[in-house]
Amino acid sequence: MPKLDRPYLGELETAVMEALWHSGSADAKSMHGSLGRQRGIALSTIQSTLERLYRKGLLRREKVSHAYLYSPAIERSALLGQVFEALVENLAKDQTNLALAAFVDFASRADASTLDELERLIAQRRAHQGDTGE
Amino acid sequence: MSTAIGLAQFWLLAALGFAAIVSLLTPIAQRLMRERLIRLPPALRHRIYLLWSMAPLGLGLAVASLLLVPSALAGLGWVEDHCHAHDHVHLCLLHPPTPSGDALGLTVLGVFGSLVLLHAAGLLGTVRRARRIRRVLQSGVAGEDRNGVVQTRHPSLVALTIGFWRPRVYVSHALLKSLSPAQRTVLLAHEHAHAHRRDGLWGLLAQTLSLLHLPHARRRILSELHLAAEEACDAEAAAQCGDGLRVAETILAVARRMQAGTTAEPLAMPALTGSSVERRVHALLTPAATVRISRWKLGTLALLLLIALAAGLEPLHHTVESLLTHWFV
Repeated sequence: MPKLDRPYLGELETAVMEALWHSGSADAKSMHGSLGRQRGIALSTIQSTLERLYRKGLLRREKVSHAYLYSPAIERSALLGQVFEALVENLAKDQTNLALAAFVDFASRADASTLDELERLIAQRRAHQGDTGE
Repeated sequence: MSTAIGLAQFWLLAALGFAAIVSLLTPIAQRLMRERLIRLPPALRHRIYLLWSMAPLGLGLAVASLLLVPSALAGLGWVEDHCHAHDHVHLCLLHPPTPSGDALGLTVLGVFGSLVLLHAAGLLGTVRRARRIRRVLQSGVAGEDRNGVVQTRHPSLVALTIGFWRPRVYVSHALLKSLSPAQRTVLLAHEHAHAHRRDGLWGLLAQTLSLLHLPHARRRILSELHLAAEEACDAEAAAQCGDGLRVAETILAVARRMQAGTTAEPLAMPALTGSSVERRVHALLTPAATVRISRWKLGTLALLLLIALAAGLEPLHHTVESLLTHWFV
């Protein structure tokens, strides 16, 4: 699986990937027809975006006649997972980041024995309450 | 114009002096107060840590501004103008000082300016990272329910609230599918509490205004602030579903799944407060007693502070002027 050197994609890169996941494959011209015109983007911008995604290992390409036909080299869910993990790792470097609140911190994973101990405490409390829990 | 610059220069130096005192006292206060603060209800603890995070900058600026009050009162003719009675730097609106070219003073201001710039760059990075995470999550959106919870097809186990002005709750299908209906209710109640309380915004504010704390003390305060917010949301979820043990069970269930399902490196921050899972579960098993502070006591305290301020302002004003003259002129 290709590894991203930057943990995110730009907006146009994401749109191109989405379009290719939807259609399966496309060349620069047809991509420009579906994405570029409505955004007022030149064909060369679409071409360089496809080239960049290919270099990142996110697209495959084969030459058909005079043009390259691009297709995704990675599944959508796999890429999203990878990007998210990379962002979380990136966030881990900032020790004082309070920008997001996760239900259980990505960081605060207690070890298995601690979780066992906490579960035992909860079970004791349930028993004390005469409640069987869920 | 130059006298206004001079006044601003000495006023800022005085503010930084008071900020330094608060910063240096903070680690001692942390050692003395930590256990007491842990016993407080989380919502109250969150407010205290929020104020504490801003204390050096806030108190520094506030006290330095108070030192200008005598000259403001003299301008109104309510007290006698004291400036001609002595010969040193005047922290005075009526007779502002000329700017100082003293090397030490300029160095202090330069270091402060650099710190502000570095901090601003760091904050910009934080906001950008938050936006990227939001964009990644947004790209996998499957739908939004009527309570404003965004469900994503994201393969990771995601349950988080992100955003400053209009926080949104993102939950992945993968996580929802792995929980029982009762646990889902708890999880969503907890995340809604974050959005309702605007914890992201307060967190950003604390990050921004805590720049004058010593690094280790700052990390500890922000870490405690973060944990207090989590516990406050746990308490709200417990109140909503009427069962604190169920909230504790849900935290453990999600922690177990995350332990098995993610490869990301652990963050360093919670290491300061120990495992936040552990503390949150213990807090739910032994909820803090409600603290009631009577208005009468608060009123008395405010009155005593006012009297102390009125009595101490003039001597403090003169002491600060003498110190500014001694060090920076």
